[in-house]
Amino acid sequence: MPASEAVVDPAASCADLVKVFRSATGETHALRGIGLEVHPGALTVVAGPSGSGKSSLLTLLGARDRPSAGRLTVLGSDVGVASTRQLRTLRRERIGFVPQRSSLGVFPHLRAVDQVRQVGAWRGARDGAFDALASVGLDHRADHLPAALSGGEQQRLAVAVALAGSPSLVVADEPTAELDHANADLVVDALLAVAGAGAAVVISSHDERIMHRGDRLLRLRHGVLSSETTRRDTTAVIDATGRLQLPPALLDLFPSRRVVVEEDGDGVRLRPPRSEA
Amino acid sequence: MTRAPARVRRGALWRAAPLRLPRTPGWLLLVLVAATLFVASVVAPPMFAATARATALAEGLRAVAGAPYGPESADLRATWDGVLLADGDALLMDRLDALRGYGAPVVTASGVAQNRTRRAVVQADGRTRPSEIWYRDGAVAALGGDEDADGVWLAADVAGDLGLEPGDRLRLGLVQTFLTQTPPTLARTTLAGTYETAPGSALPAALADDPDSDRWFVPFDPDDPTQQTPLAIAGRRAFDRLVVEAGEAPLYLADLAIEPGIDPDDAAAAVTQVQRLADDAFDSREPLYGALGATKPPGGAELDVLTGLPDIAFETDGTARTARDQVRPYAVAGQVLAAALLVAAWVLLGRSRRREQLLVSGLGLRPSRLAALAGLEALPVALLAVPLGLGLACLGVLTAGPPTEAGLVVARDDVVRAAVAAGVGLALVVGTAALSAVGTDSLARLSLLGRGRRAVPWTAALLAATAAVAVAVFTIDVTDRAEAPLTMALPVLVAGSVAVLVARAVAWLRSRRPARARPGGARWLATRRTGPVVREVTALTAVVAVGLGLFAYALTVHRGIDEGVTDKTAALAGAATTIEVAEDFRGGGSKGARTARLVTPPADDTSIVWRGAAALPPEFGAEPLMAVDPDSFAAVADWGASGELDAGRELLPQLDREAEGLPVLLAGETDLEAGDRGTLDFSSEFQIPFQVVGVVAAFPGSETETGGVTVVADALRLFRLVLPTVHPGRRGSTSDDAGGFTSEVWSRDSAHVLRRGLAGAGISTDGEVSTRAQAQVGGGLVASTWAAGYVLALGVVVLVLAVAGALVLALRLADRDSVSDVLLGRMGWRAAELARSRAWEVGYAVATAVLAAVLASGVLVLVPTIVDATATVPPLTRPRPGLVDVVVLAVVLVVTVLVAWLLGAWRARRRHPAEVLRAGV
Repeated sequence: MPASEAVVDPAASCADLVKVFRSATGETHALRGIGLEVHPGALTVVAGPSGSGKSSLLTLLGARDRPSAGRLTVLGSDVGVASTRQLRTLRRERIGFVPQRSSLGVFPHLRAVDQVRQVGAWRGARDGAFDALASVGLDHRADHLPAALSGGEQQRLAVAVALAGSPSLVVADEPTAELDHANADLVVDALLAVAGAGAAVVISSHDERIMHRGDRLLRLRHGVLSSETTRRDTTAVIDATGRLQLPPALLDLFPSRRVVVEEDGDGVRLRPPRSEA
Repeated sequence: MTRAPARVRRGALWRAAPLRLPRTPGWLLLVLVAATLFVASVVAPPMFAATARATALAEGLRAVAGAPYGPESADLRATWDGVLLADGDALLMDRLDALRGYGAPVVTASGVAQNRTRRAVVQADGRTRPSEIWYRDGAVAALGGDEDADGVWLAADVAGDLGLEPGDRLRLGLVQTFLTQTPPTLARTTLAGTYETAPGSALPAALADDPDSDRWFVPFDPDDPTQQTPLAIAGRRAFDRLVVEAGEAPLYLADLAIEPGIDPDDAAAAVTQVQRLADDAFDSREPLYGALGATKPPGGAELDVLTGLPDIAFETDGTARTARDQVRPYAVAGQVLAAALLVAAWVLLGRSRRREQLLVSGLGLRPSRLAALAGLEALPVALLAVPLGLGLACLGVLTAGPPTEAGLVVARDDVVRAAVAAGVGLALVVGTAALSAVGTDSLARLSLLGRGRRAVPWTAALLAATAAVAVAVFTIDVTDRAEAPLTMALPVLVAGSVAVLVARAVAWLRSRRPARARPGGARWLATRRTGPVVREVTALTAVVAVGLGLFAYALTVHRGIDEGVTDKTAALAGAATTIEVAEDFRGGGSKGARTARLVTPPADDTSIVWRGAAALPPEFGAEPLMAVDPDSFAAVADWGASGELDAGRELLPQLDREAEGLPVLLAGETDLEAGDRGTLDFSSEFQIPFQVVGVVAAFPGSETETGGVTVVADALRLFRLVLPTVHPGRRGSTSDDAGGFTSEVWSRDSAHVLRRGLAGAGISTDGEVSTRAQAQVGGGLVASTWAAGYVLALGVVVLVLAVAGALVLALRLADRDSVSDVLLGRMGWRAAELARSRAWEVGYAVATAVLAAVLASGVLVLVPTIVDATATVPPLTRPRPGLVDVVVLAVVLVVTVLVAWLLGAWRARRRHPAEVLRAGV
């Protein structure tokens, strides 16, 4: 963990975060009590299998949705109680968001440079549009409409739009999903540069290469944060109800799904029941 | 080669907004059509009302063109009976000249003192000839003389009898002709010249050619009013001197012809000015009053102003008001429809940009800014819609509005109205965009999973609304129903309900009986695809069904109103022309000859109709009674256009059959039925038993006189039963006899032809004439025909919308699930098969819509009428379908299906199996 974390307030923090989606067929519990902090100057990667709740978590961190329960604070605003207008201002001025589908992140009728410039203007930046495009390798496509760009280029343009105007928080939902390794590295470099400039960056990804380039890796499973990996160590997470998720490899040690918990000095030891041993 | 760096544009979203729509021609066209229709729907009703007013005025003026000056003419005649001083004369002329809508005054003057004991004469050498001093502007000049010179012009024969040559002296004035010793008062003058008179006229041949000359004031011989007095024509100055010196009573007449193309506003202004002129002549505070009081010799003059323009203007306004009232419901319906189309177009456009809306909402753009962007985007369309809407409104009013020869002038008010309408349209777009943005901006919807939709039972709501409106409309009295605001909503609701029900029924049937198409074929694929896609199919079905249904309904309404007006006119007028003949058919001669004279048509294509009144006890009050000669009446009477009156014609022969009592036919509302018997009561003086041979809603001429029911009987059989005191064949019978019958001659020809025919038969022609055209105007029916034109125009607009909507939806239907087309292409499906499959999809929806449209229009035709704006005059007007409607609909359908088919095929063929499947842009 960077040394600055100890003195700088987190860009986003949540405790016991729950998100439930209701539909005609019933309820979907996307997040079941997440607690975490996102700090400025660091790139946080959220990983997990499909349906684990990554997109829901990133949508909430991007202040684009409200939690069903729990507390979520983004850049000092309590998302659960803030007014729609406050959240709108927050999104417009301080949060860059890259949606999972690149088409949701670009204006179809504006040239690449124009839309980066437009979004940057909303965040108070008068120039820097070309720099943002150059950071994702799109400076040569500045005067093209999105329809003239490939899928990967559109993805990178969406990242450039999110980075325009130096937002305080950048949330990117699988920003490298449609990119080759070289371009994925380019995008991650750009995100790391933004983080290095002091912004808090949160991305989700399935790509192991990307996961290990972040300052911090959070793994989600079944809507629960199962582990947190930093450059120093990997820790499992105990949620507010005392639950602890074991990695799948360790689960195989407990085929009956029963465990004996023993205190071991200043630690805890888990072992299968004797009948299994 | 180095690429030039792209120029960064500030406010790119704002700059791009006005140019967005032109980049998508389909959406641009849809929004432009909607905006244009909205502007036109706002501008057209006032234009229609203005045209109706102008047309009514033009028809009113045409009807009285050439009539003698007075209440029957729109031209104006001002008269005064004294020689005004120069200043007073100039003031009066200025006032007359300033009247709006009238030409310059032309003054005629004449002495009018002669009567049966005092004659106007000229004398020379002891010889005397009748001749009245006369003046008209330009008359002396037309004879070749000098207007300002002294002397008079005499008819050549008069001058010859007096032995006068130009330059000879003569005297003119008044002489007593009966038992008096009063010496004549004669003024001295000279003979300025002579003129030849026109045959049968006292006017000089040089003046009689004027087409208006038969309306000039020319003095008549007091002993024989059919003959004009010879004229002694003088210039104005000479006339003013001579009438005073001769002790004549002068009459000055200023004739002002109304301008042929006068517009209603000028006519209204002229009426006001004329009234003011007449008032000022009697207002001692006004200079005109003083001018009229200063005459030579002293005594003052009285000014009279004669014109029928106020009556014509009043009738014009009444007709225009009736037309406007009749059109108002349709106009409001058109406006609501156009506004709904504009909003729907923008909603559809917004849906096509759903992803972009999510983007701007996610980026925190305020809804107000998004609405402003939408306004900026729609602004060019709104600006363009102003001239287009005005043009469309002009075109619609000219083609479907009241017949006008003057063309249509777009007034400043119309332009302002169009601009305001465009502004309102823009506001609708902005409001729609704002609501949509607010909806999208609610955070719960930003999450892609979203919340569950709240299901609205649209079908049940539509059916309930239809039922409620139907109950409300049909409980309104039929005379007020057509103008009720809810009435116009009923056809739309019925068409919509039928469309939804048919779409659901067809979907249910198809689910019960799967298509027997060959598996793997184009049709099979179409059934598989459209089966679960209820929404698009239902939308296409509903739009086409409602549009076509309303268009078909408009066709039937247009025909129904046209035929209904003809029927009502027949009930009001009875025949093309009728003329009252007071005494000519009454008694004289032998009994047989007298009776034959009562019913024998006096000329070709005529019939005699006797009118009287009788009560039908136990009902109180006299009802109109018509006694006719069935054979000639059947041939001459107007039987309308729809066949509603045919029942009366078929019953006519039964008026002469053997019955217990007088066979009568009853027209109107009565509790009596065919076969019923009763007693006709004639002013409690005598009664005649009758038997009803039939009851009809309306009969030719049955509405000429007011009454609940009109009794029609055979004239000969009736007159055999009436008391001799009221028998028109009685020797000495007159039209003034108490309880007597009056006679009319009905004709299929024009008034001119009828008069000529009657004159040829020795029948008087000075009775009151009524024509079919008069009945139409008086009954407010002509306004109905104009309103019918508006209905047809509205129907055409709905048709255009239906076709356009169908094409848009067909396109959406064809574009839906395009990914599967690419995949199927990769699996080996040929492009032609995919195109056929798409065409089948559209075809199913359109076929369902056609069925729904036919059913909807059928229902609307069969329900009680809601379109009769003049229901007080029977028979009731109702929509009437015709073969032409079916043909027109068939053509429209074929074209729509063909175009939709081609569109579907074209879109399907455009997809290439190698297309990159991208879920993005």
